[in-house]
Amino acid sequence: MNNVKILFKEDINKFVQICLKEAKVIAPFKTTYGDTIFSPVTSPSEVVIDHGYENSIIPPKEFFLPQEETMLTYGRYKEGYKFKPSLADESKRIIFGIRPCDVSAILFLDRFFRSDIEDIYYLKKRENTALISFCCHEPQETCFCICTDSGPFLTYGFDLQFIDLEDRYFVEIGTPKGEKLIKFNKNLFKDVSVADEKLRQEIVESTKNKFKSARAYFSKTIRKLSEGKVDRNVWDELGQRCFSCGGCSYVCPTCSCFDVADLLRSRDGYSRIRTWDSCMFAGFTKEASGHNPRLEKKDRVCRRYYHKLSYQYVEKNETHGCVGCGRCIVTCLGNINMPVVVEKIRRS
Amino acid sequence: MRNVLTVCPYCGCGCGLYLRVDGKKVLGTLPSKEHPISHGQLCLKGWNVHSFIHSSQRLREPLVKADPAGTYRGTGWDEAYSLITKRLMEIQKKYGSNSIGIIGSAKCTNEESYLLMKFARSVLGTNNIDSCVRLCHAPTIAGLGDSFGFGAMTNSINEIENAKVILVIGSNTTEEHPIVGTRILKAIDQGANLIVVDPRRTQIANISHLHLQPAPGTDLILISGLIRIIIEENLANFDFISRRTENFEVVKESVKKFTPEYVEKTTGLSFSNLRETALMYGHSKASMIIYGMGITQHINGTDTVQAFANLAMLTGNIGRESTGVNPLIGQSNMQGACDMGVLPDYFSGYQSIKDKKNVAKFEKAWSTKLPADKGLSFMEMIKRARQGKIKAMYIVGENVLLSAPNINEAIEALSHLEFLVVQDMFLTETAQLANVVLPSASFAEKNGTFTSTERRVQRIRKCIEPLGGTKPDWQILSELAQRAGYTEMKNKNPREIMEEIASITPIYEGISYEKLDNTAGIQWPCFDKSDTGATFLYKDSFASGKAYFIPVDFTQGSEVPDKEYPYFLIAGRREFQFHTGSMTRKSPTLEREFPYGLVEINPNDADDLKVKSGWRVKIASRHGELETNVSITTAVPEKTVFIPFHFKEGAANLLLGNSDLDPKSKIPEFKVCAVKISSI
Repeated sequence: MNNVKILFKEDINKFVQICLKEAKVIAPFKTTYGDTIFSPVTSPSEVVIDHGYENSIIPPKEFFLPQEETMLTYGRYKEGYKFKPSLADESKRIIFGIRPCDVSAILFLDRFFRSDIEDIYYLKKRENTALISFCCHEPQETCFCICTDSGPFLTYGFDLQFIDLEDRYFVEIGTPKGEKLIKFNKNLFKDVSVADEKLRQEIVESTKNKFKSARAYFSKTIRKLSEGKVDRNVWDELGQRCFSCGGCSYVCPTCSCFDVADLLRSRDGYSRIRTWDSCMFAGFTKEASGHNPRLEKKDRVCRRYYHKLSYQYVEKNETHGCVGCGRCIVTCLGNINMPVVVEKIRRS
Repeated sequence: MRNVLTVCPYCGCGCGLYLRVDGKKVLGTLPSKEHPISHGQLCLKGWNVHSFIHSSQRLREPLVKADPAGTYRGTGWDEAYSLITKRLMEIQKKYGSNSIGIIGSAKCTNEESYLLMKFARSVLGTNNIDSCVRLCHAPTIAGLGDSFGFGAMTNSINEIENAKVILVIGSNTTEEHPIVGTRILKAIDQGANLIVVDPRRTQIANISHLHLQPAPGTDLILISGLIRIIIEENLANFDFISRRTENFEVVKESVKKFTPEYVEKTTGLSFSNLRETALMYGHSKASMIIYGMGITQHINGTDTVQAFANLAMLTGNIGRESTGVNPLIGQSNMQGACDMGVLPDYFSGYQSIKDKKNVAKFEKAWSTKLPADKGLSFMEMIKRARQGKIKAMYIVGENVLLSAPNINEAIEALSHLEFLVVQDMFLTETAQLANVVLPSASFAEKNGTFTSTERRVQRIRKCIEPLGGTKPDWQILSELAQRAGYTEMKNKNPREIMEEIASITPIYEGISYEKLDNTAGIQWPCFDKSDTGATFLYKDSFASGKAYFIPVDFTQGSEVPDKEYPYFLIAGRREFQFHTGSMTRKSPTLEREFPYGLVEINPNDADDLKVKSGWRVKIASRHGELETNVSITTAVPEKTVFIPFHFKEGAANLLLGNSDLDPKSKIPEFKVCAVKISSI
C-alpha cells in the first residue's frame, strides 16, 4: 500500500500555493468560453478542480511532446555554418490535476521515448515534471478507462494521487518526488483514519458503476486483430469515413509520432522543428520513390488500430495503446474511434 | 502559454479554435469543444493554421518597384503611402474615377471589407469594387437574393444532422467543408437519406444512398426535371405555394419541356434514378439542399441556384429547421465581404446603390458625394484593364493570377495597368506585378469579425502584435484615406468600425463587440440590441413578403468537348491545400500531404492515352496549356479529367476561358472546359 494522507479541501489552495513556490504549475484551466485546457497557472484561483471537470481537449502529453518544438537552429555566417541546439526547458514543473488516464498514457510514452534512442527532448522535461493526479468520480459519457485498465484509480505511475472524499482528499504518495511535496508541509496533511479508508473503498466501488456507456470489450478484438481474422469490409467501411484530419493522433495521449522539418524562419537562419505527425496522412509513409505502402485511407486506419491493439505491440509495450480517455470520440470527423472500432471488429 | 479563442481563416465553416501563444510566437492550434460549430473537431488545415504565421516568406516592409525589370526595393510606410496617393490621384484626375478598380478579399475581416468599400466609394469615387465572390458565389448572392431576399445560406450547419433527406450537389463536402461533412455523416447515421450529384465519385458520393453523375454543366436540366416529376407525382405543397410564394404557374409551365427523354439524353442519367431522387426529396418534410461551387461556377450558375429555390418552394422545404437552400461558402469571410458591400452594386447589408435613398443615407453618414453609376465586376475589370480602360487597380489579399480564369489574359491585363497596388501577407504571383506592395498582418495579429457560411458573425482575436513591419489591413486603409485627405476614416480600432457598420447596415444593426464577446457569434439578420439573430431564415415571411418562383432555362456553355478537345476538364479543390496555396503551402504537414499539382484521369482514358500514374502530360485547351502529373483514378468518369487549382506549377486556370460570363451574376464558366491531353 502506498503511503497515504488526508488533505482537507479548505487547504487545497494553500497546497497549490506551495506547488507554485516549488515549480511552474500546469493545471486544468477553464477558458472564458468554457473549454478545459491544461495551461500554466499563476494563482490557485485559476485552477479548476471540482470533481466534474472535463477531460482537456488535448492531453497533457503536449507538455512533453509539444505540437511544435524547436530542436536546433542554424544559419550560415562568414565563418561558415553555426548550429545552436535548443535543448528542452529544464525548469521544474508540476502537472496538477492530471487525470489517471493521462498518467497511464505518459507511462506508455515513457517506454517509447526511453527505448532504442533516448529522446532527451522528451526525457528532460519528463524528469523535471511531477504528476499530481486527480481521480475521476464522475466519468464523462465518452470515458471508458475502466475497459482499458487505466483508471479511474491508479495503483502506480503518479507522484501524488488525490481521491475526493467529499470534504477532504485522500492523498496517495506514489514516488519520492511526490513525498517531497508533502514532507515539507506536514501541518497541512493529516493522518488517515479507518473511516477514511472505508470511504475511499466505497467511492472506488461506486465509481465503477458509473461507467454505464463504456462498453469496449478489448480482449476478443485484440485476438481477432492479432490473428488476422478481421473482415476487410470493416476497414473499407471505416476508410470511407476517414477525413485524414490527423485529429485522432493529435488528441491521442499515447500517440508519439512526430515529423522533423527544417524551416527558414528568419532571413538568416533555419529552425529544425518537430511537430506532431499522424499515421493517417499519406505523407507519413510515402517513400522517396513515390511509392506509398499505405496509399488508401482504409489501409491507414487498419494500420493505426493494428498498432494500438495487436499482440505484437501489446507485448512490446506491455499494454495496448489505448487509455480510454475518449478524446478520439470527440475529435474524429468521421466518428471512427476506439469503442466503435473495437465493437466493429468484435462483431465482424 | 496563452490560449486565444479565434476563428479559422480557411473555409467558410467558421470553426472556433484556440491559437496557442508562447510569448511572441504562435506554436499550436486546438479546436474549441464548446464552440457550436467545431465541437472539439478540426480538419487538417484547421489543425495547422498556426504554421504559416511565422513563415520567413511573410513580407516585412512595403516594397516599391524600382525599375521596369521588376526588382523591388524596401521602403517605409510613409513613402509608400505618398506614392500611392499621388499616383491614384493623378490617374483619377487624368482618366476619371472609373478608371480605377478595387478587388477586396474574402479573407479580410468585416471591418476591413467595410473600410475598403468606403475607401473605394468615398476616396476613389468609384463603384468598381468586387471580390473573388465573383469567382465563386456571385450566383448565390444574385440568385437567392432574387428568389428569397438574401443571398445566403437559409439554414444552419447544426440543422443538417436532423435533416431526413440531403441533396448534396456540386460540393465535395468532406474535402472542402469537412465540418459540414461531419454533420452529413451524422445525419446518415441517424437514418437520413443522402443523394449526391457530382460527375466525380468523391468521398461523400461513396457514402451516399444514391450518386448521380450527370454530364458536367447539366445540373439545371436535372433540377428542372426533378421539379417536373414532383409536380406530376402530386408532391407539390400547394398550401405553401399559395400562402408564401408568387409566380408558381409560370415555372410550372416552364419545366414542361424538361421531359424524361430530354433530361435523360442531356444529363446522361436514368429516369428511374431521377424519379427516385424526386420522390425522396418530395416526400420528406425535412429535405435540405446543400451546394457548392460545382453549381455556381457555370454560366448558368444563377439560374441553377434559382432552380434550387423553386424546388425548395415547390415542396415547402424552406422557412423551417433542417430544410432550405444552403450554399457552402469557400472562404472564411466571403459572406462577410459581400455583407459589407465589397460588390459593385450594393452598399453594406445588400442596400442597392440603385436606390437613391440608400445613396443619400451613405452620403450623409460619410460626409461625401458618392458615385451613382453601377460599378464593374471582377472579370469586367480584368477585361477593361486588358483593353487599357482600367488604368489602376488596388488589390487586397487576392491572388488574381491563380484564382482568375485564363491566367495568361489576367497577366496581360495587370501588366497593362499604369499603377497596381497589392496588399498581402506574401509576395504572391499577383503582388509580383505590383508597383507598390503593402505587407499586411495575418488573422492572428488583429482584431475583427468574420461571417461564416451560415451567416454567423464571430470575433477573431489578436494573439500577437503584427509581425515587425506589417500592419493590419484596416489600419493601412484608414491611414491611406487620411493621407488622401479624407477625414471620415480615422478609425481607432475594429470595435469602433463595427459600431459604424451597425449604425448603417440594418441586418447588422444589433451586432456589437459586447454581444459577440459573450456568445459564439450571432447569425444575421440581427436588427436590434435584443435580437439574438436567426438560425434559419424566412420563418414567417420572406424578405419582401412572398418568395418568387423564377422561371429558368438551360444555356449551354461554349466550352464543350469536340473532336480536337475531347475531354471535359473540371477544376476544383483538394482537402490539404487552400485556394492558391499562399497560406497552406507554407505548412510542412500540408505541403507534404499534397505537394504538387496533378490531373486525375480515368483508367480507361489512361489506357487510350498510353500514360501511367506519375507520368508527365501536356494538357491544352483553347486558351492555354500546362504540364502536370498523371493520377489514375476511377473517381473521375471517362472523358472527364480533374485538376486542383492550388498550384502555380500546373495552374488549372491557365486552361479556362473568361469570355463566357453568367449574364445574371457575371461569374465566368469555371467548371466546363474542353481539353486535349498528350503524353510527353
